[in-house]
Amino acid sequence: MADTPLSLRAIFDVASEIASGAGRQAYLDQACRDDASLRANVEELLRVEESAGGFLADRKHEATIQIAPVTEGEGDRIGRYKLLEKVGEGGCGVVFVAEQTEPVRRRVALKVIKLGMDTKQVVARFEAERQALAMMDHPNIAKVLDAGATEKGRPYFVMELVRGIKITDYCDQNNLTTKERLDLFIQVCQAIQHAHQKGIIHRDIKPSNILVTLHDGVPVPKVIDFGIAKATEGRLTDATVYTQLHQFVGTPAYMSPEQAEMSGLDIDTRSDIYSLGVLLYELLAGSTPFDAQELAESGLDAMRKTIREKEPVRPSTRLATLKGDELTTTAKRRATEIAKLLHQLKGDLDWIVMKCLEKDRTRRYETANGLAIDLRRHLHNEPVMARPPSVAYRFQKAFHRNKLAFTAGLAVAAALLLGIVASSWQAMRAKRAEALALQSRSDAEKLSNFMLDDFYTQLEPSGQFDTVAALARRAVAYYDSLPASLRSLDTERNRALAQARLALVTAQQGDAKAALPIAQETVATLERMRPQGDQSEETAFAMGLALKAQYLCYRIQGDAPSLAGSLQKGTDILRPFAISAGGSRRIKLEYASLLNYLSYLQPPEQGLITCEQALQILAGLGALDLSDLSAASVWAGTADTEARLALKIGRLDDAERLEKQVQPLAEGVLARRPSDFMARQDLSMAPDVLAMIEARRFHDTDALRLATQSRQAIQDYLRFNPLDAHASRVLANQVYHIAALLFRQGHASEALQNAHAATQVDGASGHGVPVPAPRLWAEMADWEAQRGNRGAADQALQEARHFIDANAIRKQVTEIAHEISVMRFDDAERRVRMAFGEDAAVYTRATNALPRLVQLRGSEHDPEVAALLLLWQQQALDEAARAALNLSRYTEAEAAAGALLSLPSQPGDVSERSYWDRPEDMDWGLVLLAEAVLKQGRRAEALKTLEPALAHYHDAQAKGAGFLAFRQHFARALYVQALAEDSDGGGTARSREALAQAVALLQGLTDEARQLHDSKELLSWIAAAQKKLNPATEEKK
Amino acid sequence: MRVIWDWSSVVSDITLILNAVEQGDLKVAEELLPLVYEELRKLAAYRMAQEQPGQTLQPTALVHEAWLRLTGDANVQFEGRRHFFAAAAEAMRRILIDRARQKRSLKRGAGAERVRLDDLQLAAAADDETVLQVDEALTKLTKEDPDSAQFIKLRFFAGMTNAEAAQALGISERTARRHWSFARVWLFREIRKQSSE
Repeated sequence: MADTPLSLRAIFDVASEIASGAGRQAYLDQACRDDASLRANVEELLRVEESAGGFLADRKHEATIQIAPVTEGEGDRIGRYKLLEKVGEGGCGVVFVAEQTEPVRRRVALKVIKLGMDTKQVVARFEAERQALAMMDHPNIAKVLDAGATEKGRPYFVMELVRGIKITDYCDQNNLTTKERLDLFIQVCQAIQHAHQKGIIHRDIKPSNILVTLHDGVPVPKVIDFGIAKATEGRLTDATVYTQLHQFVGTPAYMSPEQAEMSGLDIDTRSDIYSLGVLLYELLAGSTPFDAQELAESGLDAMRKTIREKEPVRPSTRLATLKGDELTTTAKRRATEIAKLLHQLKGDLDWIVMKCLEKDRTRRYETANGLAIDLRRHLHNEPVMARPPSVAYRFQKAFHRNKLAFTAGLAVAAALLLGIVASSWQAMRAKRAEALALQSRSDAEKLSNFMLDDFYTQLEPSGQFDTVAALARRAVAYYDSLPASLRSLDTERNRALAQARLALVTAQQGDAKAALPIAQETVATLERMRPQGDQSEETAFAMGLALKAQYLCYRIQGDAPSLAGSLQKGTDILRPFAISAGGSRRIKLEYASLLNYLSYLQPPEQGLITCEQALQILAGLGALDLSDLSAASVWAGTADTEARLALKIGRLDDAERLEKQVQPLAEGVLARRPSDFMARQDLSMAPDVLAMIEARRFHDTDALRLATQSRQAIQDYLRFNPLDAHASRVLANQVYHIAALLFRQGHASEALQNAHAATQVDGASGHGVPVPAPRLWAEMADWEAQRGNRGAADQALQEARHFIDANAIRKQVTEIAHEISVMRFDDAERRVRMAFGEDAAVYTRATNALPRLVQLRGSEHDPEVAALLLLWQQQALDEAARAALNLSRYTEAEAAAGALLSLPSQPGDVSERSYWDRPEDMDWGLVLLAEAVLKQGRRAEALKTLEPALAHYHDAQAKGAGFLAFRQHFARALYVQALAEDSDGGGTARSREALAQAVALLQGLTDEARQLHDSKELLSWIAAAQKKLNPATEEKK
Repeated sequence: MRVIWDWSSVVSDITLILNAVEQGDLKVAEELLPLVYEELRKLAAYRMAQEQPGQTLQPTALVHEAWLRLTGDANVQFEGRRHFFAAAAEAMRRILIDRARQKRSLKRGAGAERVRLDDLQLAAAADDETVLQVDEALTKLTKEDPDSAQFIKLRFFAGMTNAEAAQALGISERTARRHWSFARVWLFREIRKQSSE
């Protein structure tokens, strides 16, 4: 890294993350080297950082937009109207009482629309509808008389003057009963019906557009603003959302789903029916189906989604969930008591309102008249048209149209119930209604258990973790609030279950930091319970969940050594229940899913058996015929794991057979349950395994195609479930695999492009999980070095180092994971140096790294970590041997190559690098050893050493192997063979043949690959050897 | 509430341009700026007419609204999105700087007359001197480290949060934080230097 100085920015980035002190100074010493001005510059910035305080960080500094005042005012003239008095100001305009002098003298209402533009279009649209508007003649409709533009260019409308107040205010101020409210509302329906018959749709029905006036003491509702909505038609915008004006905020709450759609084209009379439904809802229950404020604050997209998809609760339910005093007030305003009001709404009125609020407008009332008639039927105690849909219908509807909201709604209801029960517990006791209290308590607990347990299998696949977490949190709080007298083994178990579920969903959301302490506490609690003789299935089940959560946390944090223990414990506890004939479905499912995780941590042969056990249990649950979709989902995941294990030990056909069963099964689950994210995940990752299988078969083109397919599938999946941290990492891996495949096929620049892309796929989960960036950058450093780009290689190393340091500083990885990253970095750095001829340094560094590697590997029990350590050991020995050969230090080279050969062979793809790049480690060791031996004059021994390696290479070539590393290794083997054969005397013909073969192998590479350092070096050696050997008369070496 | 707004013509223009950006034709970014600039002015003027006098709005809301209206967020791919937000921030910057300069020159001349740029009252809550100072320092930062300078533009002139700016530029939040801490310190030093000169 001696050549490219680091930039100010790069140094600052790292240094600012190191606490000031010796550590930072040491870093600066190294990074700034002798550049004093650079160092002064960085140090100044670091000092400034301490004094910069809240500079710019304060949002006060950022730009805002100030709103200027509207200008028309009282006393102004607009056309033939004189503004007398401002009577209202709302979001969309200011309303004045105005005097008209000609053709008749009268008072009118004049509304100036607060828009700065497009006035001509508004007026033109109004003119187009003017005739139709003129035909409306109804006592409950205020006529729109005129429209025009003010001098300031704002459109205005002139209407019949109505001196009244909002219908909702009128009803509440006068404590109108439900019946009186319905009577008024029916008149509104008739007015709307009249307009609809004239072909006019209101489009903006809401309380402020329905004013009530008194005629001889009789209240008369008047609908105002007909035709204005259409004339000022535009799309729903954030303007309606961000403003704080109440008149504005009210609007989205009354908007029909098709209006919220913003298509703007497809609005008909049934849209008004929907808004009437919202109005009726508010008149009856005191609030709109969706909270207006919440809706307004949720942002445009969320708001549209709510209106389009969320199923509102019935008015009576809404009423029941109001807080105590709100509920009392609402009842009082309807001149009744709570219980009576609830009774009035339940049944007919609930269903009438809900029929208006159907998302699918074909299910609403056809006409406003139909709605009015049904209300009259209700008032006359006749059966209404609106029917409570059957439970089956509701279920079907909810699952077909909006499964998520439905399940979430149920969970919210359960959480609510827990809250109500907890808070009313004391009150109820005081009233001696103990039996009732106990009953509702038991109901609430049952419901919460159902949601957290059986029903969870419905929620989990759809990724509804937030809802579950909220419910679980609520449940834990509820159990904690119980007085000691009410606690029992049951409540403790339930609490543990809720807590275990909370840990699990938090972990599934990728937030290991939050999940781990919860999981650990749960495990501790359950462990305290079990020795006390609690051997129940409930406790075992909760334990299984908590241990799984713990495992997931470890996995997210990359804490490899701790992985297997908790899983093993979990399976041991669940096993007796799961394998007994009467074992419950849930415990079998959970057991199988634990086995699936466990298997991947076991030695492959054992893991395969574990997988088979899990698959058998799942098949017994109905996984294969899709009669149990959750089991099928886990089956697919387990088969995928088994395929990966089979691949590890080279059973390619087994792996392929298994993986090909994953796809149809996962597809089957998805067809029936499209929101099943686990099945989607399995489906998206299946091509990944198939790609690796093809690569192992040397079918590189197929492998690349499958890997690309897999990348696409995982990207699709992530769009579906963007929070899945694991999948983000798999995606980064996949892009890396594609890059590695491209490199291995000799497309170095394309490989680098892809690797750069992979570095972008980081941290998508937002939970700060460590990302595989260090590995990517390390690999890129190697590739750039091979291409002869020292600057780019050093920069890549710098990036790798940055991520390693950053991960360590943020304590996102364990110590061992950090050390492994550093070893990876050291390896990459050595390889870069080797490509630039710094052999002495490489040899020293490689041999220095060995003792620590040997020590670590000796004490490492986790197979995956051990495999990585083995890999770095192999790499170090390989580098030492090659460097020693270049330095003509042949005894050292022999020792290093011998040590390389003494290492156990890697089981296949444990580390992606040995898998993608170096399938022939042992043979490569033989080649290096043969060369070292030969250079010391032991030719026969060299040839003998080389023999098995050459046989393997020839064999692989016959099977189609032709990728970069293979050609390089094979060519070097042939080169060594040529030298060895020749030295035997009279072997020049065979030598030449071997050299020619080696050249042919390297000529078969892409142009780009021939230009890589290792290829070029080898070609030059071969050329030198050919020159030496070709003239037949020359002395033999 | 209904809104008068005819976007159909600009929408197609801008989506066309953004899609061209997507295909790597970088020249179109120049064509993009005036369009985005004009739309933001219109939108701000319209919003101004909508709101209670004295209210303030966050420009980020404006920019996001413009984006939603223009593209529906669906047809334009990532690159286009990035260019759009960059152009929007640049437009915001120009509006703010114009205004601050104009006000400064007025202060030196006629005095306290209210400044109106058409109907637009886009203002930094920071005082005008700060706006101009930051802008000047930012020009220098662009030479030292263009990425973090671009990032600051989105924050300071388009009023975005770190997370929003990261999303708009398609960078990770980690990278965003790195940009933020570097640029903030760099600008602070630069401005301090300017003011002491």
